[in-house]
Amino acid sequence: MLATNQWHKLDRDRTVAMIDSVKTSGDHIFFSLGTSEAKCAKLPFYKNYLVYRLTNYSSLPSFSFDYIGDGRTYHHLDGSTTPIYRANDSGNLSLSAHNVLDYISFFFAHVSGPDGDVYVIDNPHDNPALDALGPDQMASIQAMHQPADITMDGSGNFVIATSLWYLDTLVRATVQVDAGGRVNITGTQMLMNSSLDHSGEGVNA
Amino acid sequence: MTQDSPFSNLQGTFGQSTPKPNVGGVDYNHPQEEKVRQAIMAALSQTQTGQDLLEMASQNRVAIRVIKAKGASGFVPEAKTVYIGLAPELSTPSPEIILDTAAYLRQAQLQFLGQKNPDDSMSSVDQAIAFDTKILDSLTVMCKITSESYEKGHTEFVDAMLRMGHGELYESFKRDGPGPQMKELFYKLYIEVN
Repeated sequence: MLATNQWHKLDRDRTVAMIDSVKTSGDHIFFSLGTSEAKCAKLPFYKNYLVYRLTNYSSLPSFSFDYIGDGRTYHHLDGSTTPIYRANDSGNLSLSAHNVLDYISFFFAHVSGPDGDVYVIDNPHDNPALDALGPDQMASIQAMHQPADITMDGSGNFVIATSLWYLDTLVRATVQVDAGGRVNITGTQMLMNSSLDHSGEGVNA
Repeated sequence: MTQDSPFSNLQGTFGQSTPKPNVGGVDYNHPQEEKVRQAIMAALSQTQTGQDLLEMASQNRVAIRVIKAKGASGFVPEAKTVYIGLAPELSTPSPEIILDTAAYLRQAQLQFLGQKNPDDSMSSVDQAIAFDTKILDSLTVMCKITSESYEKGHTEFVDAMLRMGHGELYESFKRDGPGPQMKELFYKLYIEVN
């Protein structure tokens, strides 16, 4: 996850207010003050919105929800595009060639792909999605990986050629992002074969 | 790319361009909760370990709830509920989600057996021991389910364990069982590196 490594813990009053703002009207109990912590971090592509993380430490491992918001209104990042597009439509999105890669990294970190999670690979040496791979697989990825290339098309959309990790495979994708932050993948090319032996015989099963 | 490529589903616009308005606060309910919950329970019931956990949940009135979230899942003791997060557009639980559910049901079971989660009343050493013991226990349950499923000819949990980074631990479980070798490897892989 890019650019959100500077988390700031919210004080007790702000934590209480946040838990109250995001509680459900239904019968779910996710967070209580005694066992939960709230923190926030800046995002380079939003003017007045931060990313917030509420964590319940009574669960093992801890249980977290992420939101984007302005300290009063919060959009729960639920795995769909809806909360991000709602936040974008509030007028707080400020995309540039300098932050659009951060934007799509954030986007795919919080939006599920149709058949599995999608990870933007900007730096293959430092990406949690690749932690489970062995040295040979990492060497292949480092050999195939190319830095992202960011351009603009005639309609004012950003066009980013970048490596993605999807379905246990490295893919070179062309990702189009319009001024409203809508994301469209216009092309994909597989760079390496799947890292898994899907027969299950890859380990002493 | 051809249409039968595994990546063809990835191409195209993500989501509806005009999101639905936000009405009535945060709605965490998954639109297909019951379908997903039934699929998770059906998958778990295919193994003896999974069956035992479901029976424990039934006896202790532990609920399994599916909510809209990405990657946020766990047993919340205050709610006596295992929450499983899944994006609202998805209605099929992955093998990883099924294994996670088993691990969280095991966390609930350990709670009922009196094994408290680490808290501030414990010394830092006792907190670390309590944390490590419970996590290793959950990973062992995941290994058991994977092994029992593999013995019935299914490989999806083996692949899931690899994707989750637990391949070496699973190999140790298969080779030596849930004993000291697995514990030693757990500390080497998950604790000492952090």
